[in-house]
Amino acid sequence: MSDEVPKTQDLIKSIIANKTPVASWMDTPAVIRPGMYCYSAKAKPLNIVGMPHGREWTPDADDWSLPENWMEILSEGLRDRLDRFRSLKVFMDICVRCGACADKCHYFIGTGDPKNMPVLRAELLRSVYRKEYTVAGKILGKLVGARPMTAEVLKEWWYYLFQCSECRRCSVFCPYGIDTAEITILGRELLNLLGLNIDWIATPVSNCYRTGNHLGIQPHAFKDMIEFFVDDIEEITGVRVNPSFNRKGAEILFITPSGDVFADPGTYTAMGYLILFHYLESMGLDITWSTYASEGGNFGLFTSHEMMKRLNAKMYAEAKRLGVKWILGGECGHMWRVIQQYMGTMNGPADFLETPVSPLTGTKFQNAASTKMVHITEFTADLIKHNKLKMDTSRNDNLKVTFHDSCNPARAMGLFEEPRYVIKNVCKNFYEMPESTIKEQTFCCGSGSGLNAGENLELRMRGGLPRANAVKYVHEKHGVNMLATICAIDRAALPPLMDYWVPGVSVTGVHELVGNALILPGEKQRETDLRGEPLPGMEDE
Amino acid sequence: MNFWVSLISAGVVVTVLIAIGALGAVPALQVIFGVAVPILAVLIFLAGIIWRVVQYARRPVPFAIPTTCGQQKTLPWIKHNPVESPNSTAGVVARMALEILTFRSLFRNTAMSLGEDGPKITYGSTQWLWLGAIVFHYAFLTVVIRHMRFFTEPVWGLVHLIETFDGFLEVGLPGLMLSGFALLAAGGYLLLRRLAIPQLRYISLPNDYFPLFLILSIAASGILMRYFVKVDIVAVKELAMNIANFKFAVPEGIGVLFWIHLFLVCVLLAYFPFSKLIHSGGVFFSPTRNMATNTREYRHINPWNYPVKIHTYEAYEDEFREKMVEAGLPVDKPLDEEATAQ
Amino acid sequence: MSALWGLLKKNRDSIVAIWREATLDTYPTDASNFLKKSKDPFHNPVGKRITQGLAEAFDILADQGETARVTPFLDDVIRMRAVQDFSPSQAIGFIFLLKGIIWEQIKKDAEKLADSPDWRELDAKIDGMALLGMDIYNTCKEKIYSMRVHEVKNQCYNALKKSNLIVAIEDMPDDQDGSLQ
Repeated sequence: MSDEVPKTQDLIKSIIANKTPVASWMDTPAVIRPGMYCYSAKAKPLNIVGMPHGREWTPDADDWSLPENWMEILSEGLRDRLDRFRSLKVFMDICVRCGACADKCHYFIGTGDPKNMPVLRAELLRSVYRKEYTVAGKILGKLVGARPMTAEVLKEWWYYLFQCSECRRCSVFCPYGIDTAEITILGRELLNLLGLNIDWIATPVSNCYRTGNHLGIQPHAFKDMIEFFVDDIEEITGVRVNPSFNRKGAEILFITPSGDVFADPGTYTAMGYLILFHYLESMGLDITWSTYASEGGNFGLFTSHEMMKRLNAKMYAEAKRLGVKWILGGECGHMWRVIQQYMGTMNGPADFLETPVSPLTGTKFQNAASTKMVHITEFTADLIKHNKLKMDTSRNDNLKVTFHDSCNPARAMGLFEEPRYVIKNVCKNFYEMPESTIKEQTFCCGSGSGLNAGENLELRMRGGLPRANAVKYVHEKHGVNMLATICAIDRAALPPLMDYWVPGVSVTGVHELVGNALILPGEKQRETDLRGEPLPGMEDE
Repeated sequence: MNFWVSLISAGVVVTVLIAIGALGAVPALQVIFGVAVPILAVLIFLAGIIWRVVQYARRPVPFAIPTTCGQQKTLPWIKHNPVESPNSTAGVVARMALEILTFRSLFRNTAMSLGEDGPKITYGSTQWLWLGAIVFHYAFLTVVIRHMRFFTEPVWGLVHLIETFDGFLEVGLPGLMLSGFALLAAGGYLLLRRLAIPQLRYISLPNDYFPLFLILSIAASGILMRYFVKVDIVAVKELAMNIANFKFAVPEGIGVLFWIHLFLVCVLLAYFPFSKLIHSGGVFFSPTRNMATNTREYRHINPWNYPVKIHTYEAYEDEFREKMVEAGLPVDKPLDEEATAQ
Repeated sequence: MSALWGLLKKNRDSIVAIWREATLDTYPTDASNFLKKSKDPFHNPVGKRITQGLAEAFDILADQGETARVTPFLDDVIRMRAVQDFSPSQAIGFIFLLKGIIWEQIKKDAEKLADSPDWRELDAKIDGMALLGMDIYNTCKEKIYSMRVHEVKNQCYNALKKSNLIVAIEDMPDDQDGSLQ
């Protein structure tokens, strides 16, 4: 060991230095990295729903085969939205770049990429807005943070607008309530004018449009899949539940994300719903599923306001056709953002429905008097409060549960206590994650807003690190082994996230826990939970 | 925009403005700098603010998109947070008041620390931004109210009251007013913060430095005039009263510092509506804060809601009727004989 | 215990601090400030893992512990770097930084140790850590790849499609009047 050593260090340091260039962010074009982006939307799914400029293109190619007048389309699109959305206009003008949001984004925390700071993500659009719509921007250009639209800028928009999960955490901390999700939603809407969607969003959208759900499951197959669950439930409990589909005259229509029907562990949550409904049937619950409105999720929200409306319309249309009194909604995140903040406005008034009343407790859900749609944890919490459910909670005794607030129910609804109340009444071991990572400050799973594809796993793992880190804390401190959530994207995205960062923690929906605990009349001695795993005390049998 | 370019260009502009302001001391130009410029600046300020507010106000709010930061109003036995998740106008007013008067959201910037008995919220260094911002804004407000002394005769009671509080230390002659120094200190902090924290430096534009330089120069020149390089205060009051009463005569012998101070204030007024400083008006229009979270109970109306094309149940059934019938799913239109025969 | 190991322990705090600093310096400038400064373990998991992981790994090294014992601590650091914007050499290069840092920190006291065989042992131990780092990096990457495959399988799209349970998108008609969004 001698004097060469510092030289070695210099050498290595030069290899690993990955410094942001001193150049301004405006002069630093985006580098489109594999693992960070989702595959581009193909022509077909766009054509099916009549979205413009469907074509084959690849994000890492130089030429995106943009329509010739793309700048005009974009410029006109921006002007139109500035006129129609006060939010956009206000958010374009009032940011003071105080930096309060900068370190609140899970993607920034996990990636360190400065353009993942919410303020800068928004500045990508603001810089173009200033150039086109402010006098100072037109004259002084970059001196006042204005720059012209170019193909490079467009690529940067695309890259970073699909690295925002629209979770709205930053909007909690902004002193003016600037909501990056709103900017991302409208930014993606603009990109869609040029056919620049991602496949993971565009294909579910077209599937949902035609067949009623994201995977394109046809009606008979949808019924078949639920019937698989019926068989499984019979095997586990000895009771055959009897769901109905598209049944006219039912009192309540049930809509849940199709993820609960086709992907584990959401399927166990679906079994939980089925068990609950069966339990309540003899007590007067009259509920039906629909194959037409078989998707609660709405990837239209990640595409454009118009697409959101077109997909959401099915809920009321089906409720009207079947003649139900009100709608019960399953556990889903962005579905509930749409229901809470958009559905009534877009597709209401739902005056053909009645203010929801629980047929079991008589509770009137006044808070849903206009949309006529109730969240299933509100419904179940009310049942538990009124002692309507007979449960053996010891079946969940092997679980140490924590609860991940999904972004949308948290920051668009304020649905904090209902799911917690349900969980605490069906499990004896419940532990909260640290305060700054739950409720309104909850961290995103890292895969929201249509970003839960396979090709961008690196982005998802980084973005989910803050969430996983908080889970790891309760895992190590309290032995937490189950992460409960009320979102279908969470149920799809969190298992790999846990697998990578916190092995030993599984993911569940809240109603899977309910289904395990609920004692069905006439059921046999259960030996396994809904997953087929032995119940506590049954391990040796 | 490179950081140095941002900083220097903003600095150069303010220096030039100071130089221009100094021209006010030239007797021949005093009607321009003492009367025309201030009146013009006030007119631009008022017209600009009105224009901006109208711009925001006339734009529709198509959807109710409040950010909920507390428990929603739902079942009667679940404790509702009426301010962080307001479901009534009163709640919204309370939320906006907290936001505007106490910078509620900025105060959320807490940190967690891991103690023996688990994680704890700590209030500390992360709230310096909140503290700096709140001192800056309230000091600014106090200074503005104190300056009403120049435009009112007799001086308003409010001004006396504010001065009593502001000068509570009762030291020095003329009495020391804290607000000016607080403004300078807080503004200095906000500037230093921008310079010292790399991610802030990275996002800062010349138009972030410019207003800070401008306000700091205004505060500094004001403090200099009050305590160190005295100007003829009686003449200043005379000028202010003249302008307030639309009399266009400029008294003689006011020091050059005053002319700089006045000109920078005029620039600030004229710049205000067209810059990020409009956040003061814009925040009232922020839909994530000023809307109730009761959209499931009361329908929000979108004035430009338009009909869209949807895939109807009829079209859906037409496509899948055969499979639906086969699977035992009810259909609206039965399969006709021919179709079954095929 | 020989003098070299004693020096490592004596200079432990400064070595670990510089190693941490240098490792965090490999992140973009404007982020590295946040990563270094924020002490909130839930708000700044990257900073926390690096701070803890490197300190623990160094302590094992200075104790002449089994190199394998550093695995969980290096894992905390490399697991992140495997999904961040680093090439493989960049992702584990921070381990080699330790050699130079140690030399810089103890050289004024280490002149008389120039011929000590302990240097070779230290050298070998750090190399061993780097090799471990390569294993960890590779394990993480393999995990990502297998998860990617699993994601695809999990969707069971193809199975459904084959059994004619869903409509393939290729078979759907286009929307003819192409209403513009």
